[in-house]
Amino acid sequence: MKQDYITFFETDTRRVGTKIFAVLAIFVFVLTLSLVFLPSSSSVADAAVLKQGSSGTLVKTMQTKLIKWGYLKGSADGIFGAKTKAAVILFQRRNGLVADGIVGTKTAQAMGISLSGSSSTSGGASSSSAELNLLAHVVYGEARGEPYTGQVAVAAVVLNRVRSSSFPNTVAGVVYQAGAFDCVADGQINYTPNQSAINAARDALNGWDPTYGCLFYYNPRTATSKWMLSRTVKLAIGNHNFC
Amino acid sequence: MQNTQQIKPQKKTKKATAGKWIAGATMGLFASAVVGLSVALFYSTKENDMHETYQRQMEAVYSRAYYDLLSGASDLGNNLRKLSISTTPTMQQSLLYEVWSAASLAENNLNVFESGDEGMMAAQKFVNQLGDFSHTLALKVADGEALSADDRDKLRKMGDLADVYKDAIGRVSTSLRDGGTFAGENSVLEDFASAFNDFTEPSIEYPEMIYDGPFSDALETREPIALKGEEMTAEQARMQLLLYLKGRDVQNVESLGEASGEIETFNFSFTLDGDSAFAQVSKKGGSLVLLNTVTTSDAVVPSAHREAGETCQASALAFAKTLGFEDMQVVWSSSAHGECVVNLAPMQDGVILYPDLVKVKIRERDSKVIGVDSTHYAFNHKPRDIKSPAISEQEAESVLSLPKVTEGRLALIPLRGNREVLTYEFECEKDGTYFVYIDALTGREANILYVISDENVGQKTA
Repeated sequence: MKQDYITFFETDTRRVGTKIFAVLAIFVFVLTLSLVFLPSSSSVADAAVLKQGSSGTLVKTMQTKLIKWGYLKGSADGIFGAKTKAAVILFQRRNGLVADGIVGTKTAQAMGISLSGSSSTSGGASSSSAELNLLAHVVYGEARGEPYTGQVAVAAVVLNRVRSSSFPNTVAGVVYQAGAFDCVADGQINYTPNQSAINAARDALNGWDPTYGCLFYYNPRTATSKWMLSRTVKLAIGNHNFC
Repeated sequence: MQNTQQIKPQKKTKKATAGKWIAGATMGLFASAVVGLSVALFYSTKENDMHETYQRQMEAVYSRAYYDLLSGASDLGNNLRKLSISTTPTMQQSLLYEVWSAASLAENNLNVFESGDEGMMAAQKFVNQLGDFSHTLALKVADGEALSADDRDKLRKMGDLADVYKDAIGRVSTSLRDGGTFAGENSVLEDFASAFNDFTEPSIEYPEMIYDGPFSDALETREPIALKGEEMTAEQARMQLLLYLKGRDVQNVESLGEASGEIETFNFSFTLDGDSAFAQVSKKGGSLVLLNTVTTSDAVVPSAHREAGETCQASALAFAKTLGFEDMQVVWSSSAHGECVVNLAPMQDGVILYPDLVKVKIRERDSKVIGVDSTHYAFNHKPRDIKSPAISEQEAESVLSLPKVTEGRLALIPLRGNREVLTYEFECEKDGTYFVYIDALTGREANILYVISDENVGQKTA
C-alpha cells in the first residue's frame, strides 16, 4: 500500500509537472512568436482614410473645404454620403489624383487636411505649415507635460537656434541635428501632437519668445552634461531650465 | 487489504493513460518548440540582416558627408587664398560666391554628425559666418563697392582658420583608412567631433565678425535700448501688470520667478477672463514685454482667411496706448483660428518705423486682447535721424513693374544684419499681393515681400 501510494503520488506529481511544463512551453512559444512578430506588426501603422460611410469633424472639415472651393453644394453635415463622394471624385480628377472617391493620404494632403493615425500630419504643401507641423512634433515630443509657456519656450529655442550662427540654418536642420533633441533619438517626435503643442509652435513662429534668445534647455533633475549645467539659467519654467 | 486489491487494476489503467498523455504532450511540445525556434531563428536572422542593412546605410550617409566635408574644406582655403590676391570685382565676386556655396555645403554636412560639443559648435559657427560674410561681401561688390582693408583682413584671418578646420576634418582619415567606421562598434564619431576642439584653443585667433549679415557677432548680443526708467521690484511689476489689465477679469496672479535673458523680466501666471495667461514685465521701466493666453478650448476651429476686422485693430491700438506706446499705426493684421494678430509700428515725422513692431493678439469673438509682444520695440526703438528722401514718390513709383493698389508711404525697414533703410512702400497686386520697398535715397529696390495665405498661421509675408 505504501508502495502504491508512492506510485500514485509520483504519477500525480509528474502529471502536474507535465501540465506546468506544457503551459510554460506554450507560454514561451507564444512569447517567442510575439517577440518576433511584435516589432514588425507595430511598425505597420494603419493610415486612416475617409470614405463613404465615414463621419465626424474631419469629414466636416473636408466638406467645408469642398464647399468653399465649389466642389460641393449644401451644408457640411459631417457625414460622408454619395454627394460628398461625388465631390471628392471631382476634386481628385481636377487635381490629378486617382479618382476613387476615397480620401487617403495624397488626397488629404492636396486638400490640406491631416488624417489621424497616419504618420504624416503635414497639412498643406506650403513651407510654413510644414515648419509648424515639425515644430509642433518637437514641442509634443519634448514638452507635452510642461506648462503652455514652457512649450512655447521649447519651440522658441528651436527658432533661436535657426537664427544663431552656431547651429543649422533651417528648422529641420536644427531639429534633426544629430544628438540635439531627445525626442528625435527616442522616436517621440513621431507622436501626433495635440492642439496645445500646435498652438505653442504657432505662437513661437509668430515671434513669441519667452526666453529672450535662449539656445538651450535641460531638465535639472536628469541633466548630466557638466558644460550644460555650468551655463547661467536665464529662465526656469516647469521642469526645464532655459539658458 | 481487499479494498487495496480492488483499486490496483484501476490504478494501472490510469498509469497507462498518463503514459500516453505524457508521450503525446512531449511530442507536441517538441514539435512546437522546433516550430517556434525555427520561426524565431528565421526572424532573428531577418532582423539581423535588417540591422546590418541599416548600419551600412548609416555608414554611407556619414561617409558621404565626411568626404564632401574633406574636399570642400580644401576648396574653402584655396578660394580664400585666391581672394586675398584678387583685384578685380568680377573675380572677387565669383570667388566670394564659391566660398559662400562651399560654406553652405559644409554647414549641411557638419549637421549630419553629433552636435553638442563646444568644438563642433565653434566649427558650425565658423562655416556659417564665413558663408554669410562672403555672401554679404559678394552683394557689396555687386553693388559697386570695393572690399575694404578691414574686409580683406577678416578674409585673411578666416583663411587661417580654414586651415585649422581642414586639419580637424582630416584627423580621422587615418583611422578610416585603417578600417575604422562611423557606424557600429569602435566608431570614430567621437574622435571626429573632438578634433574640432582645436577651435576652442586659446591660441586660435577668431576675428570679431561684425558685418551687415544675419550671423554678425553684433546680433548675438542685443540690448533692450528702449527700456528706460527705474528698476522695479517684483511687487511693483505685479501692480503695473494689474494696471495694464484694468477692467479685465484677472485672477490668481502668481509670481513665476524671473527671466534674465537679453531682457530682464519678472514673470507672472494668472487667469485672464478664465483662460490661463502668462506675462513678462521688464524689470527696467515695468514695460509689458510679453503677454500670452491659452484658450481652454481644445477644438480646431478652421476659420476662413480674412483681414482682421476694424474692431480688432481698434482694440489693439487702444491697448498699445494703455501700455504707453504712443503714435502707433496698424501696419498689418491677419486672422486664423478665431484670433487675429495686429502688428503696430510707431511713426516718426510721417515715417513708419518697421523695426519697432508691437504685436497684439486679439480674440475675435469679443475683440479682447489676449497677447502682446513688444520685444522688437524694446530692442530697437529710439528716435531716428531720418534723412529727407532724395527721390520723389512718383520717381520711386516708376521703378515698379506692377500696378500699385495703395498710395506709397515712407517707411524705415530693417535689412540684412542690423541696417535700416528709408524706403517708399507700395502695395502691388498681380496674381497675389506684393509689398515693394524702393530705397528713398537711391531709387533701388530694397526689398520685396509676397503675401502668403496659410490655413494654420493666417496671412504672412515672405
